[in-house]
Amino acid sequence: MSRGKDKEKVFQIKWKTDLPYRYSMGKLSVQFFKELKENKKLHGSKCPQCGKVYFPPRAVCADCMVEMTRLIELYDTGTLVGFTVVNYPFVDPQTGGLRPFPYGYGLFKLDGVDTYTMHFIDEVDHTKLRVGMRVKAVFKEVREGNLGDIPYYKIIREKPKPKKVEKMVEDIEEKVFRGRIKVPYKHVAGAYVEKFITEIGKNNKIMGVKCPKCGKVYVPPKMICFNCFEKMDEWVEVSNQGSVKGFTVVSHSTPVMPLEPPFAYALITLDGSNTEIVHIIKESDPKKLKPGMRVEAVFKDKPRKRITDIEYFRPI
Amino acid sequence: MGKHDVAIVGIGQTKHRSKRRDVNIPEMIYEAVRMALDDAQLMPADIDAVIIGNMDHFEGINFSEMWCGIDAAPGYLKPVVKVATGGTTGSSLAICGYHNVASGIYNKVLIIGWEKLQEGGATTGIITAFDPVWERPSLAGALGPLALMASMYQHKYGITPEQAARVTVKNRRNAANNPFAHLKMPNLTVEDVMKSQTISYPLRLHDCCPQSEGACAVIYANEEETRNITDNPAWIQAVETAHYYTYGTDEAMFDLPTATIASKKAYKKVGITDPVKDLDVAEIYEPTSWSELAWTEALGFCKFGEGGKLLDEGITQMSGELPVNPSGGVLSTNPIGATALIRVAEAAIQVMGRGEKRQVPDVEKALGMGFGGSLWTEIMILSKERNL
Ligand SMILES: [Zn+2]
Ligand SMILES: [Zn+2]
Repeated sequence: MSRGKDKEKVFQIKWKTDLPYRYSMGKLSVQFFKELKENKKLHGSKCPQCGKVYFPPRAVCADCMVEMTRLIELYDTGTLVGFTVVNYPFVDPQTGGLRPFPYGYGLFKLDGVDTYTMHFIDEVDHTKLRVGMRVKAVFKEVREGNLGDIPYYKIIREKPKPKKVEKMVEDIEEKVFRGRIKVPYKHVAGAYVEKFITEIGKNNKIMGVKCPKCGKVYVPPKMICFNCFEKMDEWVEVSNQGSVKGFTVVSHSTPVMPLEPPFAYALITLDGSNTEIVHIIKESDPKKLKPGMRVEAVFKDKPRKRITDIEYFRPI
Repeated sequence: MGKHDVAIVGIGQTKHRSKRRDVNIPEMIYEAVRMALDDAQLMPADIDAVIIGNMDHFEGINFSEMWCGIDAAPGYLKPVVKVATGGTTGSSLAICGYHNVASGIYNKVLIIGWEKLQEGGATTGIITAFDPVWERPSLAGALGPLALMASMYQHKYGITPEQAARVTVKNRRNAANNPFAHLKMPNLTVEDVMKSQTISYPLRLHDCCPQSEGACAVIYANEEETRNITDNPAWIQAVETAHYYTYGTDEAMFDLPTATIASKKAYKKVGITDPVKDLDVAEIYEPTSWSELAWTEALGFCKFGEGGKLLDEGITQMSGELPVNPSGGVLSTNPIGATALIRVAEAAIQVMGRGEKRQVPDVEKALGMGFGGSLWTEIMILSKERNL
């Protein structure tokens, strides 16, 4: 391969994941957010053995490996122990877009709590912030029962007030936090994939690479023969016809599918290749499909540098 | 210690850069693997097992062991195991590999760490590693919490931004001697660092590690195999891991208690009483300039609050009593899944005396450190002599 190492214009695939998930918060967090939503109150958890008070509340004291089943009511005030003003752009995986910046970001201890916690603070000028300043939670008027109900902590001038009111967690329903992970990616496909995709799109040719040691021809091509751990440099054209090794018929629909079901999805060995390629066969009647049957690639009129530039295989 | 003595007998790494658009992930990893195999003069068939690691979500791929353990490494029909522990991924790999050989399970093991950060983004990826309910809403990746740490550290001990800036100057000048380093800045000055943009007070751009693309591969062997491979190995004398709390900010981070706990245990195993005198070089995981000062305290190189003084006295410089990060450290090179493995590899290079322009003279003992996760620390101590 004669490619400049720093050649910038190379084949990249860009996409954005969008994964919905359901996260089981655990009893204490569920109770915490219920109290936050209904009563604008903050709670921590207290270890029955060592007495350490945790915020955010959690089920196990890591020091003692003892379960905590009680919430303890906290003041909504605390003391700043560290601060910064975040002033750089980044994609927030919760939204898939840039998180607005700058924003004040503090590490503080709520009064009567033994752990530190972090949150937004309502000051973006770092010269106005000092370690030791007092902070107080600000609550939204209309609350939903998540951390967004406390949009930020504000700087105040009050002395700490210790108070601890212990209460048992009531029986609560199971609840999940529904979130999304949305992250944009750019995947460098590499020179082997680029040549493969380009030959398909430009010349309707399917190319493989041959191992110098065992002679195996790989389609799709890749750099290393995993059997011999040899680098492969010899390109060979293989046929656009081949044999089906196995198949299934896809009948349910999801948004990521390349075409409307039903269609068949098969392992195909092209003549001249020793590996199988996974692709679509445009034939949805299982009776007309069988292992060993012959198929031929149908190329897309307007290639888009995707494996679907071979639009599908048709029985011959 | 284990049933067997374990040595590092082969090392490979890519020339780390901000972008490697000429290769895909397995192709990039292969460069480091090939170099390590050639370095140890081993055939692919000689490797008994492969241990690999990077971070899910950073490149938009999951289950990377499926395609990187085989296409990039001689793992076909062999055990391939993946380890991912955040910043400590590389040191977890190194320690996992040690256990696999020391226990007698395998004779020769290949360890690989990598990251290709331009394909996704470290900050975005890191946020997905944290608690969705409590931490993701305000977490700004690693730099936000590291900035909180620097602000606390500054307040408690009066460390100055200029002292922090001198760490970056030291490390990026050291990087100029390392052919594999990403950011080489032989002429960087304290003024340049101080003039760079404040990206999260008190962190300036030059106080922070870069995002790099690269891979590192290391081969381990037991005492018997080592004898056949090389007469210049780096022997592993101690490995230690200390993990910490649930949420990233449960504790004030800058004291890094895990580094104190892990390093004390490791020093005891090796008979180190004064690390500055007894160690000859340290490769530590400093994600920011401020962290190097704090970590040198936590590792017992000086008293708490004296990290700045240690630097000002020149002890951690290349010419000092205990050079810290001759490779340029994390401030110069940061392909996350490889970063902590590079600390171990560079410590081994120093022990072997193969550091060329970045070599510290007469290294007998070297320390490698990994940092990450919820304030986790991992330590490895390497030596020239098998029996101390
Ligand atoms: Zn406890
Ligand atoms: Zn082969």
